Amino acid sequence: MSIERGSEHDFLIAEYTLGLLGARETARVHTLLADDSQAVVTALKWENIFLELTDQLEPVDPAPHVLQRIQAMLGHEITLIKRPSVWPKVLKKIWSLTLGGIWFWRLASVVLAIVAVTYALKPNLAVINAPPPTWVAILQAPGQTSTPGWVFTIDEHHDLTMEPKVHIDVPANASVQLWTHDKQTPQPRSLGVFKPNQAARVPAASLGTVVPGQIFEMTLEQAGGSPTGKPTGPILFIGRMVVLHVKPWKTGPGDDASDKQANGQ
Amino acid sequence: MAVPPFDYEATLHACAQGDQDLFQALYRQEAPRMLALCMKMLTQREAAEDAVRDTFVLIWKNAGNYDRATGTARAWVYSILRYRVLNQIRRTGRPTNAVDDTLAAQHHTDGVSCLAVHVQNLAHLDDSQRLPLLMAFYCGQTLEQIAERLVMPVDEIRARLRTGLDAMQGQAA
Repeated sequence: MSIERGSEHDFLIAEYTLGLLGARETARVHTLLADDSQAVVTALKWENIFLELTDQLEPVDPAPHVLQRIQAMLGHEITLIKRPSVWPKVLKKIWSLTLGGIWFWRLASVVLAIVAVTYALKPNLAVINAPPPTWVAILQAPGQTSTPGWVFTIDEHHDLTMEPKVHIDVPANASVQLWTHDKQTPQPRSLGVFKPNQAARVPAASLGTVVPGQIFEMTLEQAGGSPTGKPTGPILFIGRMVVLHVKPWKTGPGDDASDKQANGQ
Repeated sequence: MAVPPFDYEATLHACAQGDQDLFQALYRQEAPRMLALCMKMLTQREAAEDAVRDTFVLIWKNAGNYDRATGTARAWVYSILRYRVLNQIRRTGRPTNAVDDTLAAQHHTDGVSCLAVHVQNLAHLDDSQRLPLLMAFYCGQTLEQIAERLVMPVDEIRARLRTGLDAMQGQAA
């Protein structure tokens, strides 16, 4: 049965929706909401009425990186930020160095070489000594899903090695900062400010624990890094850590020939 | 040709099916209004953007739980947002804003800074009903805090609020 307009429950739920109540009355409404499906209907009725007050405010556009952050947290494709002051330079450079020039084909060769090594060479070596899983992350610029921007690998000492695959121009008054986060700790943690076009290494002690699926991203921040300890600028490159399990080739007669693949996760 | 109104219910349903494009459409449609409300309640842009971000993550994860029989999809979205913001205010308190306080003084809103530019809202209510409602909605204040601020008994504030709520409901009907 619906909750009658103007009844005690009707007002109590309105007051709860407004956040007016103390602990005792809040607990009372929580019981109502759990026991009576009509209480939920009443709560949303009031929420709908209060929209009138929200709609009287002047809308404020969120910073572009807010949507990117949401997409990163959910594992969605990251939307390219259209910021004339930054992106045209960056993208123009990426474009000219990839599809627009010989570097694209050189890069394609590098990728093919990596694939060849992963699928052919390493399994052969594994006959002698099966290697540990390879941890790798390919970071891409938002909207540039066919273009690797950086390749991250974690070595046997658990250090992170970062290799740039494209050249970008960064304004003199800006820095590139590296962040990481995962589902358990969605708040990005800074791994430091890096020169944008040079290979770099993050030691294991600074890197901390890494799990499969962990996200690494580079954002454009003010010179010296984010002043807030959290990303404030657009995402330049983003990617997830994956684990490649490389199994040894079976070479002798009677060996099972099926388990010779490298399995990405 | 008239632009059709945004279909919140269909959009939430699409989000539940994994449609990232419509999720983005919802963000573009509603995030600016959500941020405006969060900035009013929390007074700080960074905290407000964090609240909007976290709300959209929850919207995506819980879109499948929305049942249009319970109410409008837009109200459902704001119930998530306001619940988070109110919890944050309870946890960390609400920072004051000097600029808002100055405006409040100019508009004679008894130093209730978050109401500085909203004295014209709820014009169909009289001041005694309007002020507690606006203090609750825009400032996230509890009954006791409002009573203390307006130097009135809690029961008196509650009676005024309920008169105001009844009038709002009548206006919306």
